[in-house]
Amino acid sequence: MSTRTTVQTRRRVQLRLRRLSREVPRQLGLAVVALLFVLPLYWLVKMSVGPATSRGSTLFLDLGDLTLDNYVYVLRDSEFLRWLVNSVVVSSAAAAIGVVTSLFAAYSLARLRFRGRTLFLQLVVVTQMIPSILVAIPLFVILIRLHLNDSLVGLSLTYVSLVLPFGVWMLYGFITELPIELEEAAFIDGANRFQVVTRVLLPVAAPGLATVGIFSFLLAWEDFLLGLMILSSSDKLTLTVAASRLVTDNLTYYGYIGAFGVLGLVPVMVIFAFLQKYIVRGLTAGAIK
Amino acid sequence: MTTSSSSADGDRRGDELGEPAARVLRSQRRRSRPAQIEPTRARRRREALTAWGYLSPAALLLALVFLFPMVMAVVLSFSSYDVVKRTIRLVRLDNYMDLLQNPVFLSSVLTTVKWTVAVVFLSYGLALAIAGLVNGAVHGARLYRVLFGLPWAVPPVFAALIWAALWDPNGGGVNGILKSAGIGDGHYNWLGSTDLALPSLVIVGVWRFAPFMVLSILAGMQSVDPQLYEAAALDGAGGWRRFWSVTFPLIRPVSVVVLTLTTIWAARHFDMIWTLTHGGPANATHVISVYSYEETVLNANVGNGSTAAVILSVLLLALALTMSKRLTEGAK
Repeated sequence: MSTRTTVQTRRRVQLRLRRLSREVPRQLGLAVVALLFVLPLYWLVKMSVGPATSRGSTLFLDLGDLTLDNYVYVLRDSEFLRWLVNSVVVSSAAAAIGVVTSLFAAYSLARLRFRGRTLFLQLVVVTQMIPSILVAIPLFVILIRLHLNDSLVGLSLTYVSLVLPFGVWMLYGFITELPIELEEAAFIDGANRFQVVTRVLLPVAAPGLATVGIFSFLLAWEDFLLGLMILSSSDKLTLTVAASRLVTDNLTYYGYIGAFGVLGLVPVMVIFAFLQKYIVRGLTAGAIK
Repeated sequence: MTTSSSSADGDRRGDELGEPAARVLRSQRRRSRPAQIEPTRARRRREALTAWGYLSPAALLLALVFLFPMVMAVVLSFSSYDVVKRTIRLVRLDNYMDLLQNPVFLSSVLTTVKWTVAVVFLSYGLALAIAGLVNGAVHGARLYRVLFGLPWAVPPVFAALIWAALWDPNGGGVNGILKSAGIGDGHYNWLGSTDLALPSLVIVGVWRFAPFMVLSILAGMQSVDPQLYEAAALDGAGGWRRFWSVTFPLIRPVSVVVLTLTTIWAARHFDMIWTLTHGGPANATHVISVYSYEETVLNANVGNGSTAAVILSVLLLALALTMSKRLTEGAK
C-alpha cells in the first residue's frame, strides 16, 4: 500500500463510492417493488396463523396470538381435501388428454402437407383469443342435455377446449424448430410414421411436451367460469369455485380464509417453484423469436 | 442418402421392434428403395390421409368442445331462445341492434375499456420502471425474478380471495395499514363505493397481470448484447440515456407481444371482477364479460349474453390482428 500514491487511492475510493451511489438506490427501488408484490401473500399467511375472526389490522404479527387452529379447521372440518382432490383429478385429466392430442395434431400441422392446413393453423391461433364465456354458454347447454352437468367428467371434457388450442400452438412452434434430419434418418432406417413420432420425436420433444403438460394443468387448475357454471353440489367443487364461495359481503372468518388460501396455493407454488424455467420459457418463446 | 442395406441392420431394428417387425423390415430392404424423390400424387394423398388420421382425434375433440359451441353461440346471438319452450327463433341482427342501443351494455363497454387500459398501462409502466432499475445485470436477479413472478402463480380467484380480505371495509389489510400510518379512520369502503370500486379492482388486476409483463421484459432484456451498453457508455451516455436509446428500442418486439396478450387477457377477464364485486356497486365494475354472464345465467337471456360475448370476441380479434400486423411490419 505504501507504493500507491494518494491520488490513486482517492480515485479508487471515488469510483467505489460512485458505484455504490448507483447501486444502492437501485437495490432499494427493486426491493420496495418486490415487497409490494409479496405483501398480499404475506398478509394471507399472517391471517392464517392468527385467531379465526381476527381483524388483523396491523402490519406485524401479533406473536402472542399465533395458532394453527385455522389449518386444523380447514383440513379436518371442511371439504377442503375433497375439493383439492377434485382439482387435481380434473387438471391432470386435462393435461394428459391435452398433451397426447396436441402432440399428434401439432405434428401433422408441422410436418405434413394437406389441404386446410393453413386454415387449421389460423383457427388454432384465433381460438386463443375467444373469451371463455362464449364457449361456456353452449357447452353448459350441451352438458345438460348429456346429463353431464355437475360432474367432474363433464368438467374435464370442457377443459379440453381450454387446453387444446394453446397446446397445439405451442407444440407446433416447438416441432417446427426441431431439425428434420432426425426424422429423415429414421425413415431411411425403415420406420413408419407412427414409429417416427413415438420413438424419435418424443424424446427430443420431451421438454416441449413437459411445458404443454404443465401449462394445461395450470390452465385447468385456475379455471373458474366453467367450473362455476357446470358444478353445483358441494362435494364436486374444484378449489377455485369453492374459494369464490368464501368471498361474501361480510367477511368475518379471516383465519379460515387465510388457511384456505395458503393451503390452496401450496400446490401451484410448488409447481411454479420447480418448473418456473419451463413456464417462462414457454410463454416468452414466441415473443423473443 | 441411401444407407447400404444389410440383414444385420434389419436384425438390430428387429430386436427393438420384435420378430415379426424384423421380418417385415428385412423384406422391405430387399426391395429397391428410391432416393429422395418428389412426392407423387399418390404419396401426397397418402400424406394428407395420414395427416388427417393424426389430426382427427384432436380435430374431433376441438370441434366438439370448441368449434361447435362457438358456432352455436354465434347462432344463438342471431336468434331468440325461449328457455321455457325450448324453441329457437332466428331474429337476424335484432339482438345486435338492441344491444348496441342498450345503455347497460354500452356502459359495460366503457367500463371494460377503462379497466383494460388502466391495467395494461399501469402494468407496462411498472414493467418499464423495473426494467429501468435493472438496466443490465443486477445483484440478486434470480431472487427478484421469483419475487416479481409470485402473483402470476396465484389463480385469479385466490387473488380475489386475498384482496377481498385486504380491501375489506371493517378490518381489512389496507384499511388497517392506513390507520396505523395515521391516514383516515380505517373504514374506507373500497369495493362498495362507486368511486373506489374500479380503482381498487385495477390495483388487483395490476398485481395479478403485471408479473407476466415484468418477467417477459426482463427476459427480453437479457438478450440485449452487453457490448451495446459499453458502446453507449463510451459515447458518453449516462444511465437514463442508455436505457431509452439502447434498451427500450430493443425490447419493442417483446413489448408489443406482451401488451397484446395482456390487453386480451384483461379485456375478457371475469374471475376476479365477479368474485370481488359481481359487477357492482351500481354497475361501477360491470364489464362485458360480467354482463354476458349475468344475462345468460341469471336472466336466462341466452341471446343477449351470446351477442355480448360475440361482440367482445370480434373486438379482441380485431385488436390482435392489428397488433400482429404491426409486429410483422416492425420486424422487417
